[in-house]
Amino acid sequence: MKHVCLAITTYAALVLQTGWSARLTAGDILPVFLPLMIVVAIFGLKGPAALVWAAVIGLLGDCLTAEPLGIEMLCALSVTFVAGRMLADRTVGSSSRLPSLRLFVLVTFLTVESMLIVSTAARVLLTGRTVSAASLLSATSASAAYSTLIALAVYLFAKLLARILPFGRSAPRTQSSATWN
Amino acid sequence: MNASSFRIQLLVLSALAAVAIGLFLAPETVTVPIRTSVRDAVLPGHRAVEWGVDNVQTAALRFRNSGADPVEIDSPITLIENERLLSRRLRLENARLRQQLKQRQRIGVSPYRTGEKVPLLLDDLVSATVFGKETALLWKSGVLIDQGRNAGLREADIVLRDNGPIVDRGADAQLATGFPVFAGRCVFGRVSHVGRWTSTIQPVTDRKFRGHAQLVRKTGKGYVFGGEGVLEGDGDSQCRLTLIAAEEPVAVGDGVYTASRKTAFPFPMYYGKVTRAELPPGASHWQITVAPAIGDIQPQTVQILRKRINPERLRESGSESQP
Repeated sequence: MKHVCLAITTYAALVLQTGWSARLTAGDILPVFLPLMIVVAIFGLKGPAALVWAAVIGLLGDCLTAEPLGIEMLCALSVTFVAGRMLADRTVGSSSRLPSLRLFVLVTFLTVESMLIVSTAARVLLTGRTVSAASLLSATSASAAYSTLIALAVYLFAKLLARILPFGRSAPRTQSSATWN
Repeated sequence: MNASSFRIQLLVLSALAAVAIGLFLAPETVTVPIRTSVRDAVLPGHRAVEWGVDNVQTAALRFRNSGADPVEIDSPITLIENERLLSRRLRLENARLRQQLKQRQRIGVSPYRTGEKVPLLLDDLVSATVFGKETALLWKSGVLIDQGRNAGLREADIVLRDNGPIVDRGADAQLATGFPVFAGRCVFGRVSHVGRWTSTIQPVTDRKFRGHAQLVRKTGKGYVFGGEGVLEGDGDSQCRLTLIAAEEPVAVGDGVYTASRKTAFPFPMYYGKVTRAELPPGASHWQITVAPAIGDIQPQTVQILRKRINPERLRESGSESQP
C-alpha cells in the first residue's frame, strides 16, 4: 500500500514538475517536486526500499534533462543513504506517524538543497560551463526554501488529517526505533 | 544497526550506483527509449490535470451564472470575444477582397486559360504541446528535454541563449528551424531550434524575432491593407513595427497581420494591435508599438505550420524525366 501511494504521489510530482512548476514560481524562484518525493522515501520507507525509490525518482529527474542519465540518480542515492544513516538512531516517541516539524523541515531543506547543488554542479561541469559558487548557492537555496515551504504546507495538512482521522495514529513505541535497521 | 542489514543496504546501494553509472555511460540507443517512455508517460497526467482544471472552471462559471438558463445566456466575456474574433476575420476578408479588386483593375484579367495549378510546397499544421518551458526554467535555462545531437548544437549554447517555450515535436515530426507557430489565428512565434523530439520556440516578443508584417486599417471605404514593415520583439512583452514609411497613414488601433506574400504563412495571421504610433519631426519612418495578441497567454497547445514538397510534383518531374 505504501509503495502504491508513493508511486501515485511520485507521478503527481513528475506532472507538477514538468507542467506546473512555472505557474507556481515566486518571482524567479522555481519550486522542485521530485526531490520532495525523496524526502518522503527517506521518512516513509526502510533501508533498501528507500534506496530503490530514491534511484527511481532520481532517474525520473534525469529523464527530464538533456544530460546523460544517472547524475540525479547517483545524487538521490547518496543523499538518501546519508540521510538514512543520520536518522538511524532517531527516537520515535509520539503516537503520530509523521516526524517532528523541526526534523521534517531540516531534512527536507537539506535534501532538496543537496540534490540541487550536486546535480547542478555535475551538469555545469559536464557541459564545460562555469558558474560562481555564490550564484549557484543562492539559486539553489531559494528553490530549496520555496520547495520546503510547499512541503511544509502539505505536512501540516497531513498532520491535521492525522489528528482528525483515526488511522493517523499508531501505538506509542516503547523503545528507540529507527527508520534504518 | 544490524550488521547484516547494513551489508544488505550497502549491496543494494552499490548495485543501484552501478546501474546509475551504467546509464551514464550507456549509448543513446539505450537511454533514448527510457527518456521517451518517461515523457510519454507524463502526457496523460498533463491532460488529466487540464481536463480537471477546465471542468472546475466550467463548474465555477456555471455556479456564478446559476439561476439563469445556461442555454440562453452565455458569458458576456465569451460573447464579446466571439464578436471580436468574427470582426477580425471580416476585417481581414474585406481588406483582402479590396486588394484583389485593385489588383485586377490594374493588371486586368488574363485572356488565356491556365492549367490546373499543382503547388510545389504543401502546408500542413502539426499540433504540439507546450511542454518544456518549465523544465527549461528549472535550471535557469540550464536544461532542455532533448536538443538532439544531430542538430549539431551544443546544449550549453541553447541553454544560455534560448529561454523560449519548448514543444514536444522535433525532427521526428519533420520540423525545421523557422517554421511559424500559431496559437489559433494568432502568431505565437517561430521554431528556433529543433531537437530530435522537442523544439524551442522563439516568441514574437523575443528580441531576435523578426517577421514581415502589414497594417490593416479602417478607412471610410472599409478595411484596407496598409504599409508593410518588419515586426520585431522588444525582449519584454511588446513588439515594434519598423520600416513603415512616414507617408503611410497609421493610427492607434490598427491591426497588424503577417504580410502573406512575403512570409511562410499562407493566410494573413494576426500579430496584434498598434498601441502607440509616433512620427518624430524629420523622421522617415514611424515608431510603432504593437501589443501582441498572444500577450501573457501561455497556451498549452500550439500549431506549427510545416512545409513539405508536394509528392505530386515529384511524381510529375519523375515522369517527365523518363523518355
